[in-house]
Amino acid sequence: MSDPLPELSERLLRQGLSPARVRRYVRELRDHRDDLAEHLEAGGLSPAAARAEAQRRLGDAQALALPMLTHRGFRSRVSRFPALFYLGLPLSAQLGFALAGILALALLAGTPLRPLLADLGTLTALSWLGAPVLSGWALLAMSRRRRGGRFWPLLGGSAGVLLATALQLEVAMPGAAESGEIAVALAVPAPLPAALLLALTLLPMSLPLLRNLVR
Amino acid sequence: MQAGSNFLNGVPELLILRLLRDREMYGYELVQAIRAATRDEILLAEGVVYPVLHALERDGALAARRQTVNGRSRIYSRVPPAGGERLAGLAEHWRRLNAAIAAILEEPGHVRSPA
Repeated sequence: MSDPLPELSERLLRQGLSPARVRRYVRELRDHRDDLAEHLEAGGLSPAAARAEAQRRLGDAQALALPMLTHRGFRSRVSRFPALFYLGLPLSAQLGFALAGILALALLAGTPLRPLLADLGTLTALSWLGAPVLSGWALLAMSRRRRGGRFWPLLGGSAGVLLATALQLEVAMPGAAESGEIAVALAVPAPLPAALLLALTLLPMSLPLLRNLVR
Repeated sequence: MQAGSNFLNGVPELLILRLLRDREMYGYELVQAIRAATRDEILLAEGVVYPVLHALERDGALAARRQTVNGRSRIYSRVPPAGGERLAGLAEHWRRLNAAIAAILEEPGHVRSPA
């Protein structure tokens, strides 16, 4: 008899239960089945017969999945509010990160690091471009772990890239007669950097394909 | 009696809360306790207890703690005060239902069919 627990696990994840809950449920069922098989074996059944009977009494994947799927409260927040978790929160975090960078630059302007402000501005702008890549990878990993589709991580990753490439940062050092300036603007993203950044963000999606090609 | 029909909805919850009120148990122990307490009259599918335990725990009607015993991770459940209130409500519901069914069994004549 094949083990129904891996199939059960996949099924529950695909239906939007959180990985932690699925992991716990499957572990409880596995331990229960082992306890029951031990008990039956102690009662005189052969190991194979005890295991088969324990599995029969536990139920098949369909019977074990149903009570978890009918309880709406078991569905994870991510599966109930994908727009929030794949789009709203990452974009908010990205904006917060950008604001923190601007604030840090403004504060550093009043410190002995002031002469390095232009370089620090460049680093900040680069980090703004790196943020959506990391965020996009995290979204893809999150979706993969939850057996989610590709739509929301793709949308979230693309939106992050558009925001990052639209944000423009310029740091002008003070001259003899004029004060310095930290300027931030939103502009239409340049197609090439946006496409490159998007390709980098979505790179993990092509890894299975690359692995197959290498084989 | 197989606990799978809609008629028995709420029975696993009631049995679980009642048995856990006396002492904390983990899933396998609980299933054996149900079999013993009902003298095998109510045979729960063995996997059914876990979704009920999860749901009760989520609602605050059960508290759980994890303990490793002989290399296996056991999740022991017990009934906190909120669970006691839920048990009282469920028990009252089943007593009323039981009394209603008993009345029908004794005097079925008082049940009128619709005109």
